[in-house]
Amino acid sequence: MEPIKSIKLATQSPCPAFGGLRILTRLEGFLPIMLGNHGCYYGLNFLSHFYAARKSTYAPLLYSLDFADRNLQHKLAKAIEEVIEKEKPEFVPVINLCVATTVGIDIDEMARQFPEIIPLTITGFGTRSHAEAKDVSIDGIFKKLRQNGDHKLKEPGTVASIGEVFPADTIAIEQLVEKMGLKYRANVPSKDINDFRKALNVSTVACLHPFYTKTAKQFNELGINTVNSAPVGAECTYDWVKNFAETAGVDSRKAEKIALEERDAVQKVLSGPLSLKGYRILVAGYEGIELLIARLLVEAGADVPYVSTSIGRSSLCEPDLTWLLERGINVKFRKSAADDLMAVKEYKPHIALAATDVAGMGKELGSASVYFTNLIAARPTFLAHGAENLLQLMHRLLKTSPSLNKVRTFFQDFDMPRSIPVQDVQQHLCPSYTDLSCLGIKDDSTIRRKEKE
Amino acid sequence: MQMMRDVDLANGYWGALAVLTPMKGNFCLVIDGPIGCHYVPVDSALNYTDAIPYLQNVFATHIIEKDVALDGTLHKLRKLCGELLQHYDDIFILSCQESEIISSEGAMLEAEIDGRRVWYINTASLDIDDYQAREDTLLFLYNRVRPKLPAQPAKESPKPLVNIIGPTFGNFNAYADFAEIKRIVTSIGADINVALPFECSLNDITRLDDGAVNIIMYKEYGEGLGKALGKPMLFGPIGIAATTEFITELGQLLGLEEEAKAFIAEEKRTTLQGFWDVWRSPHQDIFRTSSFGVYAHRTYTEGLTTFLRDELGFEEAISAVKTDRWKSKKALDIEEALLENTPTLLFGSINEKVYITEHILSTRFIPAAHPMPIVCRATGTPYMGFGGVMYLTQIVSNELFDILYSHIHIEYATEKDKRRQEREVSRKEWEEELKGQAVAREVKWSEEALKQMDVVLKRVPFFVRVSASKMLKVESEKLAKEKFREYVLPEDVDAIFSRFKR
Repeated sequence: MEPIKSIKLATQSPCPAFGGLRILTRLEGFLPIMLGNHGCYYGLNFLSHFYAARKSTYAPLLYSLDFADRNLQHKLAKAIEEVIEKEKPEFVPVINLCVATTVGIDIDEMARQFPEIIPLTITGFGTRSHAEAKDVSIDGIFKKLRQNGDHKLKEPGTVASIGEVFPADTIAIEQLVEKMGLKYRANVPSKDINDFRKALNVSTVACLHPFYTKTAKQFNELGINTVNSAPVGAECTYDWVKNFAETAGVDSRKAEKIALEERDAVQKVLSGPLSLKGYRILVAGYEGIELLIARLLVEAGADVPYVSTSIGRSSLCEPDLTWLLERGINVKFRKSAADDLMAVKEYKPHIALAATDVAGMGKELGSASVYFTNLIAARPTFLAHGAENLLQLMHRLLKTSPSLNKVRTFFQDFDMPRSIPVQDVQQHLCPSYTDLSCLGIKDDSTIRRKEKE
Repeated sequence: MQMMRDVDLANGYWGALAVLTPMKGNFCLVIDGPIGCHYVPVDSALNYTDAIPYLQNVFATHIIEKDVALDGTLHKLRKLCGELLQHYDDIFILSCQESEIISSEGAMLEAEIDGRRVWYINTASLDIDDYQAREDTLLFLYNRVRPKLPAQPAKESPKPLVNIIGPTFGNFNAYADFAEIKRIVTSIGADINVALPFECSLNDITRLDDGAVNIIMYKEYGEGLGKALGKPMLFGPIGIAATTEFITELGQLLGLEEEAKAFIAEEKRTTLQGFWDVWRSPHQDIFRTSSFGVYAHRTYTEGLTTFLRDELGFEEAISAVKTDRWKSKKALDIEEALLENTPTLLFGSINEKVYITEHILSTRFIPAAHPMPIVCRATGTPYMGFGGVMYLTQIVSNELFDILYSHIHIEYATEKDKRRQEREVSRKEWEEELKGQAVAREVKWSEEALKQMDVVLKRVPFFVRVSASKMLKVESEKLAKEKFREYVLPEDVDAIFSRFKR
């Protein structure tokens, strides 16, 4: 895929509606209905069934004739009513996709008719990324719960967290806030709507990922304080604990003690045998958690020249963004696939953590690249345990370099489908992973030192 | 208005993409649609249907809000085509549901500039389905595109030439079935002329008329092109009789009767030898006491049903074509069918696999249709041809053995100590009863529990029913005793039955 110069491409992202479905299909008692076209239904249902939940989605068959029908709104409401009567779900998120939004189907009106409906508009042209569609969905759920009055049982000294994180990470947060003398109530999104109800009644919310801008706004409206970023890496963990404690009104001496303890534990991992000194890693996902991952890798000694994400820049990103920019790292928001492809070509990293197409290109270059979503986003990253886990993965990937290059060499002389012409990568053929000269790394003294040890 | 659960057929745009993208040659595609229309089929779904991480020659307009509300996409398309024309001989612009609803005017860009061409394909995504679009796109290529392409010289071969039409992306098992059909064609002494779209360059479509026979791999689409070509047509065969007939007819049409006959004889000695051995072994007895369901697309549903029922002797529990529910509200409801007449094996897509799991049915699932996240790129796994006869026999045998495996008695390592303690306790109870120190605690069967036992046993394949019924009886009684009940309840039976699936 060559970069296109003539037009500005949209941000690289899977269909944003899929981000929404990841949240919505996983909630028990929810019956998601999509309004759009059968092409959308097919793809989104298919992806949801193995990337979100093994749960059915429903959708009305709509043809061009239907879109010209004056009674479409009424007919859709009737069809949805029938499903509600038959299946008796607790909540029905009705998602307006591109075409239904374009013709102006009024889902808010439907929500007024049927109390089960949570109206959500998620389109490929309007919702900017798959990550931000999760924000739209969670925002919609909270709005519904507030309409139902589920936010009126305020409980002081309690905490909830927001973000699709690995279960071990929520346990880490729970233990951390309990050390501070606070009570942990819930992490959303989850499969239980009661967790959302609990989150509306806590006193402090940890907004673990930087794209929940709409949701954070709702918490602020309710007078609930939000804390941005997450305890990933040493410095970030220290800052986060201090910041969180201050926001939640925890004694500052106690907070300092906890922050130092956790920071030192992470630092021990970072400066131990899992150090990544001498390795170049590109972080180019579309999940919205790339800034945190990059911070951790940099602290572990890796050379991270480029970080890209599909989400937009907001105040929620600030602490992490500032940290990366101070170190001269190129950070790209709302990136297109072409941005990442160019970066892989330019930096020729040992590992590219990227989307399928860019990771594929990395493999063509012989770098131990992986699909960010599958390998990074589905892993614990918080505190010392998370750091250890992520760094171990990097070393495991680096160890696979020889096998990658063996296979690559085999196909090098033949015209296979590939995104980089053979002649462009010939010079980068690496005979083994200890010989890094082919990747343009001049200073490999650290690696030689390691070998001697 | 028809509300559909788990939509399993895509739209016109996906169909056009599946036909055009597998072809080689110096051309590219431009998708006139928003980001999702680019990434869902090209980057996501294709990864899980065909194990392809991305396609090189696909570009998109990436419609954004401004385009919908104000500008339309023509300006973007114009710029994009201008840039791409410097690299490619042919550009195909594909409409999507969104560009159709905002009435984008991509058709205005159709042109021929210095021997390079811009094509606009109205995929009618708002109205037609994937298969109709595959049919229409094949015809579009033949009727509209072919006359404008540089004519290719006829293939130099002393052998009669055959076209194969239909192996496309997003088509379950197409790689293996295509390889099997090619094997048959070449084995009887014919040559492949054009295989459309797999192993075909865009310019090769100018040679389509050279083929003496057209093999249309699927009944779902391709027949329209076959009719337009006007030569004899044959469809991809599944099963012994269908394949024999296919080879014989192909031989007759090409003047290769003797070669065809010799090939069938040779196949019995080679490819089908394994089938013959499985067939006369005890395996076949299990086939004849088990049932199957198929819920797939037409070619596979009809072919598998005939083969499994009429040739292997399975009982047919469900046989339905997925697309029928698009035509009639009275079409089979697969979830209901699975509950009413639970088959031993079900051939289907991921949707059916979910229903089987949701209802904790004992049915074993075998992939036979998309949508299905699966790597199906080995060419040794055909469902079609004699190779398919052997392969299908092998997979159903192995699945049935695996069912047997899960019913064979086992002492779970993690439960050994607990079981030993239980034995000690019951021994003491028994001794006390004998000594008259305790009253024997008999557990009786409630009528509902007995009924449930019947229901449950029907879901167990016949060949393991004896051991299953023993285990159900003993274990259910034990469960009731543990809960200090005098009666076995239906829920005890269910609880024990669910253990069988381990």
